[in-house]
Amino acid sequence: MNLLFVARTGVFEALTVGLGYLDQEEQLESSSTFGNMDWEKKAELIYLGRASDGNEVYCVGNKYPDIVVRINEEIKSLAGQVDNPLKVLPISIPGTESLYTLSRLAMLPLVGSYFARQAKSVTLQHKDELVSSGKNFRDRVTGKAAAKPLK
Amino acid sequence: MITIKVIYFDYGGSHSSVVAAHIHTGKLDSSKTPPIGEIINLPDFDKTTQEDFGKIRKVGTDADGNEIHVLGTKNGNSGGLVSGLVDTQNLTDKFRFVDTMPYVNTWLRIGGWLSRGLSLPALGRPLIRIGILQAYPKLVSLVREAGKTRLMEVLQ
Repeated sequence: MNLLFVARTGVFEALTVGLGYLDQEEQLESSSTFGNMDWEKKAELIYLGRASDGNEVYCVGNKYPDIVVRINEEIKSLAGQVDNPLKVLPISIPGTESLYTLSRLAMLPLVGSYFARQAKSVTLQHKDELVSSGKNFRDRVTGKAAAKPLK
Repeated sequence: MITIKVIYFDYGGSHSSVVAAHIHTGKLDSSKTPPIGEIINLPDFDKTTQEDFGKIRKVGTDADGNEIHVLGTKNGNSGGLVSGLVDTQNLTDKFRFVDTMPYVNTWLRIGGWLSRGLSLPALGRPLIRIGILQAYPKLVSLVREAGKTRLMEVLQ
């Protein structure tokens, strides 16, 4: 199965959650994708890698993650049988709401790089929550959450 | 015969995508711009609501039996997204997404925003009429390209 993490920003929130899923969160700050506004403007799916569970992981930014979920479900419904389905996982982490505005400002000429640095800083402030969210998704997908000890 | 699903998409799924889809199905004349009344009376034209974003709506079929659909993505830059969704699921032989946003002129943008965004169709529709008539010949050219089958592309 393929997994696509969708948040309002792709190269900040969705990327961090995706790296958390892959257990590669330590690579965030050195990643060429982190804060890369060229990727953000393209709004294309960014391939992050293959997880230990075999899932191929992607991320993308979109102002309306729920609409991306719906479009994907519509595509699958119209296609009928899908051999290699994609599961879209919308992300919304409290406290990261300013990232969308900062990412839009980061696309401005001249002053954009300042806002991109600000957005990176906010992302790093919330890195733990974002990474945990990715790991929680992985536990849900692989069914680890159900492995609580019986009392 | 192998058929595909052709999906015309734009921001709202109300105007340029609907007109392109109806040109493709043959419901609108492709040899000349039809009277504006014929366009604004299309069943899907300038009718979408917030709930329609992300829904792929069937408009009809073309002469080759391909299904023709429209989609509003609530985003002006969705080409990379939709092609990515199709590519990652190995569905490129079943779908063709056609972006009509490059043909959305200023009249259509402002008119569409007034009519659909602010629910002021009395103000928006006169602008939409001007915009869609200006865009029509370009949409015809787009549909001609989109309607080419894979076999035709290979033969060319």
